[in-house]
Amino acid sequence: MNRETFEQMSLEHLDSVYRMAMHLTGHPDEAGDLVQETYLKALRVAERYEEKGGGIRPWLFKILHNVFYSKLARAKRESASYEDLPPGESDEIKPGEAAPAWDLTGLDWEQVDGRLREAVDRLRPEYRSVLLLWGVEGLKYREIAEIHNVPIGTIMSRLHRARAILAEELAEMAEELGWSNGSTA
Amino acid sequence: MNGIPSHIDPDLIRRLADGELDDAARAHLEQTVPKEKLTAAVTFEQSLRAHISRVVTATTPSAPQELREKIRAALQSADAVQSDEPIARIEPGAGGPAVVNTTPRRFSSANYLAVAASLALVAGAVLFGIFGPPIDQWGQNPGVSTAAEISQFASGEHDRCAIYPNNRKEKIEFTDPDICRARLSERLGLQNHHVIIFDLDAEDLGYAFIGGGSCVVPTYERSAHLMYRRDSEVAMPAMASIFIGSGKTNSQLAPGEWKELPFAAGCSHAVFTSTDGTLDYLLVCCDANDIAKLRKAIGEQLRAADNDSP
Repeated sequence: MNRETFEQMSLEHLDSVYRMAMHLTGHPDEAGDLVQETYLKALRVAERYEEKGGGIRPWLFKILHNVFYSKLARAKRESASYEDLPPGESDEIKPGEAAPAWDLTGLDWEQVDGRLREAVDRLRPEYRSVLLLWGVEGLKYREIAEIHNVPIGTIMSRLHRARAILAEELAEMAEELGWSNGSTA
Repeated sequence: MNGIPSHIDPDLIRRLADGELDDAARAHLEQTVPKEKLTAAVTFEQSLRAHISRVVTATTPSAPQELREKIRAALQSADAVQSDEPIARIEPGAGGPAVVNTTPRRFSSANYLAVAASLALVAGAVLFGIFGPPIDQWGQNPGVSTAAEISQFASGEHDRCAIYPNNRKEKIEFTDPDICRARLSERLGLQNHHVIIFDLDAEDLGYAFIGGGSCVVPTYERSAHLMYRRDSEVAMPAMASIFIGSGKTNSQLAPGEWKELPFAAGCSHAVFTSTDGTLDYLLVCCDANDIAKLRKAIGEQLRAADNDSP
């Protein structure tokens, strides 16, 4: 891929890449630096890019994550990745966990947006990243697994867990506000 | 509780909602879980995804214009930079965070001069090119990111109608394919040409036409929206939307040829476009697994329509 083609294809996705950089770094200036470095590195290895059906966007996300964690590792002088973050909740779904909130038929989605955003922000980073790549960027499980360099089962487990946490949050909110849940049982 | 049999793994239902379940598992679910419960669960999951997308997109800033210009300029000048610097060893497919041999390259004064020079040269191109339509000359409106705008609208409007029955009812004006074809052709101002009400009900697709009506797809003078639904025995419905635009066309595509539009902020589905030579057609589908088959079937009918044209 030559520079012109790369520029044309990659800049279409600048907003998406910047949005993910914002979620990784939490700061506009750092996000800007990260995105710039990502684009330059992507250009350097553009000839290795292989179209796998999902376009160039997953590949840009992959490089973005690599650059971010490489910088993090340099900063800490040790390897760092999601796998190295302090242990938190297990990816495994615990037996007896609350049932998914699929019967919240009375849920007023417009009113839960603020709380939903807060709940997303509170997720552990590895859950949030997977959730955003899936929910906001519309990537397939396989593509997210390649970005994170983990097996697809791990991605499914993290996504499942993240959605369960959000659904629990919504169920609590519905209960607080007295919305009907449409349950017949 | 939610009425789903306790032995059913909730993850299966989430994968079903995401279009990530294979046919055998999907069939098993549809046979095992009561229709209305399965529909409610899938609708909840798809609503959750759509709202996560909207709320995160709405509260996260877009890339600043100056960053866009800075990156474009840096890319423009990157050829010269590359020649005196080793290539960073990044393996997109390799395990773990990438090993980067080079230190992070900060811009030197010389680089900034190069950037400034490049900026001066490409300023005009930047002003037009960033927002303009360099890819396929989408849209005829300089200064507007028309492809992203269209993509964002189509994905959002599909969700709005697919998830909420009341929106769908409001949108559908004609359910009879022949009447829909005639009325929408009139509304799109067509003479000696008709919109296509696609037949997507073949055995391997199973999408039935449920109706259509007028729409307001950005950048088109006039537009329409056709909706299709795929039911199964236990009916985990999947919706497909086809938007039709008149008044301009994507001249870069041959009839029946497809192109994916840029994935814009807030989109929860990929949006594909094609043409019959006169009208533009946009395709959005809840089930990503069906996209290839839908594109093939619609593409064949678009090519046939073009062949039939005088």
